[in-house]
Amino acid sequence: MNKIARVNLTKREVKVQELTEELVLNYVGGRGWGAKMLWDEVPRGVEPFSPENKVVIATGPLTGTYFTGTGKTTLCSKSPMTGAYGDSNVGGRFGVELKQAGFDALIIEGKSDKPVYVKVFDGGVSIEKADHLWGLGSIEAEEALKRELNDRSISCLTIGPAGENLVCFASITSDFGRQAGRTGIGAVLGSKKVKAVVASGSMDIPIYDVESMIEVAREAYEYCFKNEGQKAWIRQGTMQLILWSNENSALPTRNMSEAVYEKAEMISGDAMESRVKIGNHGCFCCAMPCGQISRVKEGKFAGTVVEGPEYETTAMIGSNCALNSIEEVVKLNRLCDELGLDTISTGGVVAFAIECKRKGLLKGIEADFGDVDGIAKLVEDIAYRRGIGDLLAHGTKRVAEKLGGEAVKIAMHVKGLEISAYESRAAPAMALAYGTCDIGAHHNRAWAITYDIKVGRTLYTPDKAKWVIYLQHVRSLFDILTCCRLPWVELSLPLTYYERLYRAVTGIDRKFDDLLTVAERVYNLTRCIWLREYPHMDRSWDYPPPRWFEEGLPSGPFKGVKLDREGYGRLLDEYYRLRGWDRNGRPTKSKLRSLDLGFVVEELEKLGVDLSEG
Amino acid sequence: MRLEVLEERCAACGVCELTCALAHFKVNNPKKSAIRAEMWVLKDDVKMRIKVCRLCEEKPCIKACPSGALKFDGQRVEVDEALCTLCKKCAPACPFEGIFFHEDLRTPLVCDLCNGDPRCVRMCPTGALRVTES
Repeated sequence: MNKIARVNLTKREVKVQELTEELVLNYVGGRGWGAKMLWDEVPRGVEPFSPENKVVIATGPLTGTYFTGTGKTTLCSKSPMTGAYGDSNVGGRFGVELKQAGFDALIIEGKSDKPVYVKVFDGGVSIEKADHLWGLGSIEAEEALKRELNDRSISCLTIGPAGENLVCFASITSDFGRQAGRTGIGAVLGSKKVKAVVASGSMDIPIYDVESMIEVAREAYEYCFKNEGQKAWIRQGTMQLILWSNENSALPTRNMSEAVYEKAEMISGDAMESRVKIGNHGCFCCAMPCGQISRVKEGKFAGTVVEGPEYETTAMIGSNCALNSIEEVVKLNRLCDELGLDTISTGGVVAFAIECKRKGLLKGIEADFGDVDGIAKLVEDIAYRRGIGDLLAHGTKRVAEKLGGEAVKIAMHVKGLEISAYESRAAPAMALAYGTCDIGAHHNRAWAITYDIKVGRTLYTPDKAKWVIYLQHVRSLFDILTCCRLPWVELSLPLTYYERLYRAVTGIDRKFDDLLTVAERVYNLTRCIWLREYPHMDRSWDYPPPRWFEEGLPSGPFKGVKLDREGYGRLLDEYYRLRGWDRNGRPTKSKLRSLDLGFVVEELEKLGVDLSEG
Repeated sequence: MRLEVLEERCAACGVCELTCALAHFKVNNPKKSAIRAEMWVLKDDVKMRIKVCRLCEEKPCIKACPSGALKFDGQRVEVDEALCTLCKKCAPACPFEGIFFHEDLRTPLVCDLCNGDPRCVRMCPTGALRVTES
């Protein structure tokens, strides 16, 4: 244990390194390690598809331990979508197998000239030929690997044709139905000619105090089993949110031109449960398995099976593209998974392209809203870089910049990453969450919309900024420990459990607040990775798109509401103030030093990035 | 008493696996368990399979053992370490694939029903495991 395997594809060699005390104590795991390694090893100017970019695949101290939701792994890299810090979290079992094989993290660097896969087994890592797998869908490739290695217990990370073809929002599939979706890390692996990373480990994960771990786990499982929400969560998973989001005027519809979808019932959790659901799939050790297995029973997509759909997929590919039924969502979900495409970005890009076509801003698009066949063909064209798909593969921001004018107003992204599934014109805290998320617009850092609903949809009060920051620390902490945050988010599992579990597993006595400081350190570090890359970055980068400020919602309970520019500006000022950042969102020197990031101050100064003293 | 398995409820989460390993060996290692929950991806279907001893009538595992190391004591199939040669002939004989090996262990792993109160049954989040009195 306490080992990192550094896989250099150019030299075709693997080096095993020890985890340093600094990594274990100051950065703890997951995206903490990813951020530190990217800061140290991937300097400004490195092209995301060049051999100098790296992919960090990291577990944390809690991965694979006996507790609900410890089947999580975090991947970090310089994103081809944004050109700066990107990460993505994936459920399933990969990180568990990695740890059981004796490795806490992998760093993949360099580039292979021929397709390969990385194989991790007890005590070792090898680089294997993958010519025969290149071109396969991500799920096809996983099944092929299980057959050829004659072992169904292996856990895989695989890319599909989209990753091979360097589509900037290419995803990575794991264990059939989980994905590391956001920021295009699948394309980074594709650029390195890595088709898959496979792990199978049979060693004990060392635990400092097994009895205490069992005690904490038993209490937590009992808590979850007794919780009313657990049953609903297993029954519909995140799909419970479709009707809720629609009722709350937050469901992305037709490129977020609206927030209420007239066919929400056709693509709801109830529709899934009654029409297509055939089972559940849980990530490692989960007390509330929420993966849904769906199969289309009849009609033109009969026989299509997917692990899903999830809320995000259904909103972004479904309502955002005006699909008509749950069967159509299942079809597009499976298609994206097999091709290896992030359903959130794909839904955003397709919806944007269709609206542009309708407004005469873009030619070469045959698809239309609600046109499942046209949309499926466009999605394939993107994955294979055919026709207009070649341009769209660059993501909404770059397409909008090329088209200019009106297109920029309706390009629903922040910093180059498509906004995920919460229409936030009437949700200032959520808008701020999207504006300040450190990978571009994503809800994983701060799912703040429930706060907007609770305290007031059109309020821009300072408490909203405080809440967003709190969420950004707590939620991202789960991506550091690596375990799933849903037991806490959805069933209110008390956070003290994580403090106790951390102590039982590592023997280290640490208050939860101390772990939150680690999350704050990492949040400042990722901010500085952005600043290093883009020294001219200013507060305008932390704003959501013009559409939300300029167009009132056309219908629904918040008809006419749009984001108030002045109010948002005040929220952002408060956010910066609370974070100890200056008026342009730059961490001050004193804030960085207080978080043991003095080395960051030094390097930024050397690169001519101005920081105020603070 | 024997285990009853409801595969249509199984989510292949593995709580049963790790629970078993911890209960018997106090190690955090789901591969040292006498139960496995696997997800099988087919062309147009997905099926979960739970592999564990069902205490079937026939007990072909006992017949397959050349050294008489496997015995049924009225409650569970137990392995006599002194007689076991680790020939591994018992495992393929089991129609439920409920016999497992691990490098660290001298004998095969077979479910012992936790001496009457199977932990996995208690811990399964979806109710895919039950006990029935035979």
